[in-house]
Amino acid sequence: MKGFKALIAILIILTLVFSAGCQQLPFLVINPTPAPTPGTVTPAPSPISSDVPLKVSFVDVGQADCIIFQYGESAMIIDAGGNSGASSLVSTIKNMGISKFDVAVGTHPHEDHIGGLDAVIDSFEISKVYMPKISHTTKTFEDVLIAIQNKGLTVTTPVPGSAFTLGEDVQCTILAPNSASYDNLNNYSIVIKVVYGNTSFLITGDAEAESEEEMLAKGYDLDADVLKVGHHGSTSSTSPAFLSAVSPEYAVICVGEGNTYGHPHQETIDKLNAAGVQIYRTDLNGTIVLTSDGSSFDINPDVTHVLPTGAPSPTASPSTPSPSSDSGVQITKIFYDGLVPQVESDEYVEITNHGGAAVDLKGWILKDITDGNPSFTFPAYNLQPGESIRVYTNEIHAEYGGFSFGSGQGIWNNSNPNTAALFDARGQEVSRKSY
Amino acid sequence: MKVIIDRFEGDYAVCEKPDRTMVNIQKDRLPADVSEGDVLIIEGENIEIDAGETVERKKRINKLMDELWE
Repeated sequence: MKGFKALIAILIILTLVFSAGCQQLPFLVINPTPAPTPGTVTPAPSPISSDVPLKVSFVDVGQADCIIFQYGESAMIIDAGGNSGASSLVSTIKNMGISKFDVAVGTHPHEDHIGGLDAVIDSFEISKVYMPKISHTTKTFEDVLIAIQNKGLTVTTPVPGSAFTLGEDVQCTILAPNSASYDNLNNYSIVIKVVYGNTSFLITGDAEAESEEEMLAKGYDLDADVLKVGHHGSTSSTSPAFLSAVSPEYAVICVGEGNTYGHPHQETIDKLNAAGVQIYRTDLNGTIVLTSDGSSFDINPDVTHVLPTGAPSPTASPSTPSPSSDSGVQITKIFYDGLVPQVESDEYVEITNHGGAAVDLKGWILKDITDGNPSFTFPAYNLQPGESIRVYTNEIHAEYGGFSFGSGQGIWNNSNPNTAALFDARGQEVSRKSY
Repeated sequence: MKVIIDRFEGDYAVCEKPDRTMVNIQKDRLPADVSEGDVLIIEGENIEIDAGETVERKKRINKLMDELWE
């Protein structure tokens, strides 16, 4: 705990002061650093004027980022999840008792970071918006701009080294982006260090190694207790020198269960484990809340003894897909070991079009042929070449087509494997898969 | 159908459909010179860049940005 280190330092200084026979009041003497002022690039541990806790929620928004800071009546949101989760995020925020944000940050214009930002801007009072001045052509980005315009707000370009406070005592310093242009939108990510008393957080968006190197070269104080791991734990980020400079005690990875991209990458998990960092993951732990009193954290869920750090996320066992039909549509995965207790609503069957042409799935049926039920009949849906969709047991994920069996109980038996089969509109079997 | 490349993740281009739902398209199915932000025209197995609409969207959104950024 950094607070503990600071306490040791204070004790040492106190000892020196008194052994030197100094008669000054100790607290006038030992204040180790001046209070940070706007513009400082290395916010020092700040004195806290109240006993109000800082609550930091890494909201489970699937394969996307959303981090919310609450300090008394003040609040800041850094990224707002993806498009598909926007309405549920708005409900979640309302349930947190938030009606306004002092600061809203869109780290960079990718959909998995700003997808829900227009809904958040529409639904809550917003005082200040930070976004990098970099354009994107998506409707997602355009809709965020329109929401900002409709509210009569303007956007502030992040200036590395500049600082602002949340409430009285929470010091926020912008550390990136440090260049005017990059090849990849990820590197435009706004990186913010948040310091409350002796506790600190580094929120990195999707900043990759190039931006990490720039932050190191600038000599910023990157040291933090909690690192929001860059880019969902991809190998693109968390370079060794950066991790060493941050030297976090806790790492939080915002990542969607069973995501297509293999995030977090095992290399990143290995690096964090080797550095002795306690890892929390939204795919395994759900929403993670760290509450700081300025010197220590209360972490919820308390998963210290549950989380198998380093263990890969559960995936369906590999098995050979059945020979493809003419259409090229296949069952490519059965995620049978759902993480939701009892009901395993998050189980899914993934179907991919490996063919060269779009296929209309209207009237196609996906069925558990071991048990004879349930079966799911597709509505009209054009499955594009290369596209994968999922039929969840009882969840709606728009990014995978939004299909669900709507089953109140698990379908895909963990101990006695079942077989799924896909039939086209004429009732011809086109693919089957076991696990 | 038209989609817009939002980002690249591993072997996939993550693309935005007109209704803002997202779709993963394998990168090896796309023209070699695609970039983030390109509008794509998908017709069967053929995928092409819609350069005209890409430029038009960039212009429109950049204009809006100039009005909003401090």
